[in-house]
Amino acid sequence: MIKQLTRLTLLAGLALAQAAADPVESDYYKIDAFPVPDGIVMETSGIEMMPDGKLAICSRRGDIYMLSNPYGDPAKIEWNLYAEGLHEPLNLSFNDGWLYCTQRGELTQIKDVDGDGRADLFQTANDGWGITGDYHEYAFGTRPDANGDTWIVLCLTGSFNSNIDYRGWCVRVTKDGELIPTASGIRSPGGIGLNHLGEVFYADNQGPWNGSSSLKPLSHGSFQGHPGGFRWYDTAAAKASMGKRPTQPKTNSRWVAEQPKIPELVPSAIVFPHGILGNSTAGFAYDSNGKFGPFKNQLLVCDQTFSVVNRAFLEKVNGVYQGAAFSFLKGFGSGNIAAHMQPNGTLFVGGTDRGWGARGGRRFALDRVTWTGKMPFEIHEMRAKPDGFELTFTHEIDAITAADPASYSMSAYTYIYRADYGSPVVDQTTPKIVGAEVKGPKTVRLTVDKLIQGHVHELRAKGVRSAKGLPILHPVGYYTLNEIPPGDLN
Amino acid sequence: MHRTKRTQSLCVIGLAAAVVLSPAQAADDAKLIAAGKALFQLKICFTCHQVDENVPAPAGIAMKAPKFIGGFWGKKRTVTLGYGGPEATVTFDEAYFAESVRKPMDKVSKEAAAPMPPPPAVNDEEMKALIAYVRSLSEGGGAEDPNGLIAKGKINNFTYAAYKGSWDKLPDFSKLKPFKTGTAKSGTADPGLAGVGENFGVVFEGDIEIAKKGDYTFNLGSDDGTRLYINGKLVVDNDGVHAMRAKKGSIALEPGAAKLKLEYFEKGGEEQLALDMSGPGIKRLQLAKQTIKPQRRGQAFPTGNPITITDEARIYRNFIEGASPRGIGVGYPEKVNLCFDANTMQIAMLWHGAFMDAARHWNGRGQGFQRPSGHYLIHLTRDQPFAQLDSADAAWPRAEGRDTRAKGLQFRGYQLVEKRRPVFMYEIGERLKVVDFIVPRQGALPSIIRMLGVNGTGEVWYLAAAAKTITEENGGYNIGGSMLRVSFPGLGAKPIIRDNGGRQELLIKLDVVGQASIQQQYEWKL
Repeated sequence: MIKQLTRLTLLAGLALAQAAADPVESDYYKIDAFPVPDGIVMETSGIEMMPDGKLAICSRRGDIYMLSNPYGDPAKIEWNLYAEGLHEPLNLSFNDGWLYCTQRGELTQIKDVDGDGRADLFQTANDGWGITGDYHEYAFGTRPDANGDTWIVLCLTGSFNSNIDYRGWCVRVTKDGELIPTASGIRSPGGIGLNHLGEVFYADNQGPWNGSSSLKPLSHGSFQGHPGGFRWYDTAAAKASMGKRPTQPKTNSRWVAEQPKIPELVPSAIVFPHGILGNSTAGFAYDSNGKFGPFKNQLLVCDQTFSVVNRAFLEKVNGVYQGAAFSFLKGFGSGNIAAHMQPNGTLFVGGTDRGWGARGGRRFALDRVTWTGKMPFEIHEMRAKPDGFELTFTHEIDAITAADPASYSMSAYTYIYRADYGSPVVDQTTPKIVGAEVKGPKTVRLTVDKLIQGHVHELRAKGVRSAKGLPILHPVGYYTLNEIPPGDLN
Repeated sequence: MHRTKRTQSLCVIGLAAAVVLSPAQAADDAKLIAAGKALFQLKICFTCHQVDENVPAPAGIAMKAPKFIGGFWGKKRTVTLGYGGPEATVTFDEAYFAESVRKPMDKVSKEAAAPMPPPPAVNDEEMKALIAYVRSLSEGGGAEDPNGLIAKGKINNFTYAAYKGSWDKLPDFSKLKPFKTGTAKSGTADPGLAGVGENFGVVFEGDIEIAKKGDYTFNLGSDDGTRLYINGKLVVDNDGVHAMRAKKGSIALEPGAAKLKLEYFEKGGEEQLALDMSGPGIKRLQLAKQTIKPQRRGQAFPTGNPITITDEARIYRNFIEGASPRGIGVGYPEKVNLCFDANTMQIAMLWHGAFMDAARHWNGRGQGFQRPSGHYLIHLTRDQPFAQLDSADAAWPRAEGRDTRAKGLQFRGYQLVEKRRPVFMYEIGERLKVVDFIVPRQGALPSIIRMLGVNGTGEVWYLAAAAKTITEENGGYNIGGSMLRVSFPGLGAKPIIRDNGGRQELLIKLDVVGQASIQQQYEWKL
């Protein structure tokens, strides 16, 4: 009896000790908030490192500041006004001696010619798209791609219409300043950028023809889903670069039903389920050399409303981009819009809650994230297989919990593809995990009774432990299954 | 603000006799007040003189223009005789009001930071109406004042008949059978008398007592639809399913009893009914259960983020009212400001004093166009400054809408030079490049000189101004309908004035070989 009691007490003690020691995000990543000096309102909307080591940041209000010693003590950073009066700039990118800035109405090349620390030359590289004066008409740009082209996504006039040229389109501005209509079907972008292969992705927000916020690949000629801007296929420039307008999608349908009829229609690579991972997908960055931890080349994607950064693992199946989204980091000061990663593994994230609100609580913020060097236990990759998924982990796994199908559960669902705003979750099913086979020290192969093309497959791996007994820090993955891999069931 | 002596040009002001009106006539006539209210807008008085505590007059803030709110009529006020001249005391009465409108430089309110620019001409009839309106503001409110002036009225021989039914528009009640009829001593039209909440209609009937002959206005508000008949004539039609919405109508009535019939229906939701009448000797007599509340207008001119100018020019690119969505505001320490339009390459506006307030764009989602903060605002026509015309009488390329881009011109940005003044850059076709540098000139009435350099080779026309009339005077040109006067210091060739499409255009032709330049001065003629 006494023995048993002692054992119970011991067990309880162990359980408590384990609960107390459950890892948290801050064990692995440190977020430093930059105090913004009095009198400065920094609604961070674009971030870039300058050749002299200063961090250039722009604000929705139209300012660009240069921050000296951005890796040092945030309280000691010097803020210097570099430029002002720009029209809602949403991207900065340094190239060929110029600081490029995407403003509402143009792509601008900025330079400090007289060397006094303040910009004095603002050259219009291209202003070939229209603006009517509607606040929705935002413009987000990339850094130049391998050809030297800047890709710019243009929000519609509001949520439904395109009242002036190329609203709801992606255009490219070549290094010679020429504008090329490149893709249509954009609704309300929150960010755009290149991946490690130089391919372009952009974030589109929930709304008409977009049931949930998502990350979408852009390519020349693609149609991203919202037909509101189809009329611009009739311009001479679009005729030359895009050809004929795609077939009008049918409303109250599904992506998988419409896609076979519309070859230009490109599905979302990653859906961030609305209200679960976020409400407003925005800018993203990636770590190209592993100095930021184990997630090399995965996209770290901001959400403005939730004030978080999510993580996206991407793969190509049947030539189509798809993959899994995971929670990654919370605790940012305001509504994250812009993200920038330095080669030394420092991530800068900034934003504002103006106009839409954000959970962070501050009106605006700039945060710096660094890896502590400690390895979190996470699902590193989640790959689609013909009859299930293969998970790889960042740590060696506990073979017993990992091989137990009861450690996992799954649900699958999709969204209505429709002209109305947003969509409820529909067509929900609960695929069964019928097998879990440990294939390697860090790899598990899951067999699922029924995969559904076009559905988000939400995998909860809450029972899995690492070899050292750690739970998964973020045990839920959201896989957007555009394509089911063909062939052999290994 | 500068309190320097008047310059010579300021003395050139047309003289007109002040009219003296009978106070009785001005006081009571609601129609005159209403006309005055409309003129107050038309003659742009409203841009500076605030009449509602909740609605700031944007240009007046910077100019410290007298507000027309509460108890100013008949009171003494201090003025300067001439702008910056000796002080004197005047009484704010009809004669002073008329004189101030017609000769604003003679007696300038001491509190004002600048004299009033002359408004568009005001004839004697208009002056009467303006006086009636402004005076009514002093008495506690204008004809529209929702509070204080409303009195309870009564519909005599009042009866009502209530009907059941679900309609989207008023039915023909004469073909329906009421489920309830009755009278009420209150004489107040009240949908509650029907005793049901939705899918019903009521017809109210009775007489109203008319004491004086004249025009009477009925203000009818309802949720959902209504129609008002007086003496069998339809006076207000406010039919249909809608939220509380007011409409007005007028009718001439003779002394005695006038027959009133008010039809009302409610489909679903809230039921509301408001009716008041005004006319000779009557201001807003309430005849229905409710009164029409003043419309809560959004803040017409958001303030709180002024862009202040100290010793350098400042830029504000945004949606600026009066320009296209590609407005570039420039504020200079010399207290003169402009908005360059990167769609047209033209100066869209010029103004004095305060520059811009960014409150509209820096709060919430930043929707809408913000008007300039300062005073003496001049709008230039939305024409591109350069064009390559096929012949001397070819039409100037016209902007079709706010978003229209200049034809054949391409914006190339700007460079900030001394005192961070911008030099705008743009291209004409493929062979000509323009640098467009605006230099502010300090003074009691600051002005600007626009220095245009055209480089390349080719023939091009420059449109210096366009207006209904352009008059040459003392080596410069007065631009009709505005405070603008332009001149061209150092220009060898004389600009031409040509008539084109109902307006006059001030044009200069340039044959550019290597380089050509134009200097254009923009001055305020007050």
